[in-house]
Amino acid sequence: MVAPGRAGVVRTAALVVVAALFLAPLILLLVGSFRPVGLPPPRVGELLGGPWSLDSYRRLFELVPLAAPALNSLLVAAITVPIGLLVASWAGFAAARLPSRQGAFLAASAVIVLLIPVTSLFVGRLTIFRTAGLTDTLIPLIATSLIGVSPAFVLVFAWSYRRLPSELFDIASEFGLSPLGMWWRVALPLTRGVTAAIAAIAFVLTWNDYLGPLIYVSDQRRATLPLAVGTLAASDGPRQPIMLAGAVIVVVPALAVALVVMRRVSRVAEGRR
Amino acid sequence: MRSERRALWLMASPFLAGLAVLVAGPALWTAAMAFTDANLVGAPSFVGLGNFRELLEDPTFRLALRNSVMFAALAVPLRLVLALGVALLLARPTRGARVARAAVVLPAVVPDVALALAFTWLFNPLYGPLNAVLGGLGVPTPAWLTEATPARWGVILMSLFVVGEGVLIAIAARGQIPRELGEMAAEQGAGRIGTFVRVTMPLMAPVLLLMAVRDTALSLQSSFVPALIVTGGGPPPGATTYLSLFVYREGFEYLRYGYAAAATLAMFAVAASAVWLEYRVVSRWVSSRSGWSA
Amino acid sequence: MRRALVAFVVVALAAACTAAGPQDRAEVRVMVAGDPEELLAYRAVADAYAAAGGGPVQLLEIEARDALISRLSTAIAAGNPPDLFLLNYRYYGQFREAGALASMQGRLDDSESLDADAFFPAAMEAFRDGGEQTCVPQNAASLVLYYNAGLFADAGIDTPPDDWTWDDMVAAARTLTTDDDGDGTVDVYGLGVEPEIIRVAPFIWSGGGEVVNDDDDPRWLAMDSVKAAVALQAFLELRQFHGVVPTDEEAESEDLETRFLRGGLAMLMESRKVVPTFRTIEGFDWDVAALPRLGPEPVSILHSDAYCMPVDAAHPDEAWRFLEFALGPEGQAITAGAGRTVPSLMSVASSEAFLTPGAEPSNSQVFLDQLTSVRSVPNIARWPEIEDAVNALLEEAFYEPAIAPETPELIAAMQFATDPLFPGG
Repeated sequence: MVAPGRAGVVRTAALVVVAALFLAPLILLLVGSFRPVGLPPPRVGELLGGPWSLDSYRRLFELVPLAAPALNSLLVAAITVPIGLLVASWAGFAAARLPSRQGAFLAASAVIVLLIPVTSLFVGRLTIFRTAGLTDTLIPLIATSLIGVSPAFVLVFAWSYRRLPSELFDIASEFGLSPLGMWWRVALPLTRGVTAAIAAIAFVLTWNDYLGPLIYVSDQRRATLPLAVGTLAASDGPRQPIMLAGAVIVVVPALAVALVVMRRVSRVAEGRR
Repeated sequence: MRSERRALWLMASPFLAGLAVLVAGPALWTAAMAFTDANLVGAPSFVGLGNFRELLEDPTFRLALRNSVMFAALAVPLRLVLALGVALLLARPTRGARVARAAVVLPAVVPDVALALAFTWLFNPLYGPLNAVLGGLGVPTPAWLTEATPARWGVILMSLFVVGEGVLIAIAARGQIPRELGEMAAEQGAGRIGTFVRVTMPLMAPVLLLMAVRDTALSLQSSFVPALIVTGGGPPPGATTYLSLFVYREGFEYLRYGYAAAATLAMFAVAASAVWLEYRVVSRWVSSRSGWSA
Repeated sequence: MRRALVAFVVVALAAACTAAGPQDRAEVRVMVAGDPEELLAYRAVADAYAAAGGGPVQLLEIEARDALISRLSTAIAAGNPPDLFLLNYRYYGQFREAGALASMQGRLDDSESLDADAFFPAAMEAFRDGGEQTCVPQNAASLVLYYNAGLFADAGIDTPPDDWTWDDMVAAARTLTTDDDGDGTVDVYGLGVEPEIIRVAPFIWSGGGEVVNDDDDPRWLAMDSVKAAVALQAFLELRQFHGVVPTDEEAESEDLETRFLRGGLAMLMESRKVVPTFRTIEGFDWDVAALPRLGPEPVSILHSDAYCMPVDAAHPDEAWRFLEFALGPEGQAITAGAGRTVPSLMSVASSEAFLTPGAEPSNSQVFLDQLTSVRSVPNIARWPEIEDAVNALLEEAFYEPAIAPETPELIAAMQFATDPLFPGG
């Protein structure tokens, strides 16, 4: 490495400021979770040097059963994310490769779905799940994978497949590849960065989903982590450290996934496949 | 060719099936309820356009509508610029940039409720670090939690912290743009900024549009959790009551589902017009640069 | 690698489907809302019921009132209602008027283990509809005055007596509001109270005024009488004139419960719900006292939740059997043990299971004494909206005297905002 010049110093300083700024809420979350239960919110000086204890985590484990919800969350994410990616990626591929009218129709329907508030779907979806006898299972939570977790992913995939040179597909076609084959052999391998980024976002969306489990799952034994920890959300001030401890427990796996994917996306974006 | 088309539609069919069952059906039911006095727990009866007439005269709805439009008009462009700026500024393949990129993405991973709690501290007038820092710099310290304008800006500020998703997409999208195009532009004497404006941006236009659309939808529909927890829809009454919060309260707290459904239709109309506007702006901008064809 | 991933997804999918397990048709589904300690108590009741041979109970736990209403209403709309749910009487009107609740009068009359007269009448009354008992109360608390005995001792004044007037309380609060380090900001406030209609109402009633025109047929907010206005004025003066309650900024920075917990508040008006948290206090002694009276007689306000049954409950008979257990001596003793609620069953309320000698507050008897003179807000369908509309105006007037209207204009604004929300409005 070359010795950093003045520009380098400024750039490093800028990076540090940006990083510190965005990490502030996370740091507050972590510090807050280690605060003794029942103390007032920390003053600035106390942020790092204030009293701390594991009290909140101990109380959290007493108050909320976490093992079963963690397993449920894991199960839901493990199924929803791959299926959702597949559905979104296929639909995106179709939107990119179909004649322009039909492709646009597909993309437009994804945009419209994006614009429909989720609160307006609660009752209808619950009616469907109840009629199908699914309200005591995890299936209602997995069902979002059928719309690709978020219809926005369909659009991102469509854009990223459209960016690929069409000659590639012409050649593939000459070799007798079906659309499915083109998707698997050509499109998917060339868009790994985007796929990884969407996978991470889909995981985070699924993992953090609170309203879905709240509305669609009536059996307590099928509760996911956010729902279990959510019972602390309404807690009054003195119990906030327990709630924050719960948030830390929920957020750690999601952070880990985000960091791993971030590395991968960065590598692709920097051209180091 | 026809068989290829059929195969492609087959690939789209799981999505279309999910769309029909999980979205179209439930959404149409709610839309129908907008013309009834549905309360969710009893039998609804038809009231015609009554709910819409009441909406027009409801000062809380008007305030919520104005708040939402203002929020979207400010937050969507700010978030877009921030996501793009961060993605490009931190694009250099250095260790520091990588760490900073990770730092920017992480807040987006934190559940809304937890992030909102962290912000109630940041904004806390007596204990909060934000005003302590501002005070230390000799800058006026806004009353984030007790006055209307600071509270509204506080909600926007919160939304700026969760641009991680957009940053991730922007970085991934940029990675897909062929390097040769940039190099060609550079050879023709375009500087870094020139290359960016003339080559990178137009190529990323569809993704930018997509990010804007998604942001608009989210801003207008689901951003009520932070506002609810940090500011409680106030203060003073209604200052940070957005459409989404209005709909949630009317429908699921006051059990006026029909009325809430009417407000939802209005909300959908606003979001759809905003998206249409964004589409027009972006496509005009792209075609004026002519390098790209949809 | 890919094959392993596919295999994993297939296995996980199979697990998710089979995890459903066989459905036990006789399982009673009970929806309850509350903070974590409360939920622990409900789990204990369900376990005790199962242990007593009562059958399986599935608790649907929810953390907050608004989440309860949304989840409950969605479940009812989708034809998937719980068999029983716990509901506060202030939100009961929305369900009653929609005809969503099954009457429990017949079952109560026929019950061998439950006797309607064994419950606190005030709580029973709050859940009656045209002479029929729709829901049966699970708890019956009221607004009381918590006080920090250490601060009273330090200031050299007596702790609140049984019969205390509003003016006595204000005088004590003024003495107890102190700036210990002389830095110009108050360190200890004399009193903490939320600016909400359910906090003001007891004093309006005590002063001889009314909140609505007629409790049995409420048509408008009747706070425009002189007596009601005097009470409201007295309440607003707590902040505006006496300065004995925390400012807006301070209340936003730290909620009243936390402030009391750390010794920064001498008195606090609250219901029973803060007791489990306050029992963790080690630094000072605390207790509860009756609300002071503004007029000749003290009046408090009812806080009560009841078990209700939706009209289309899947297992009404099993649900009623669980209710009989939960509201019987054993179930009531278990919930009383958590400390957060006052039992609705009088025999358990006056037993050691609730009065808990040796545990704070030592004067829990206050909760029972007040129940003879409590009043309730009306349980009409749009009451939650009325409360929210009034509270918004009240909060502004309480904390922002500079921009708030005078009391008569404030009352007029409250009436204007709530008129359309009353029946026939």
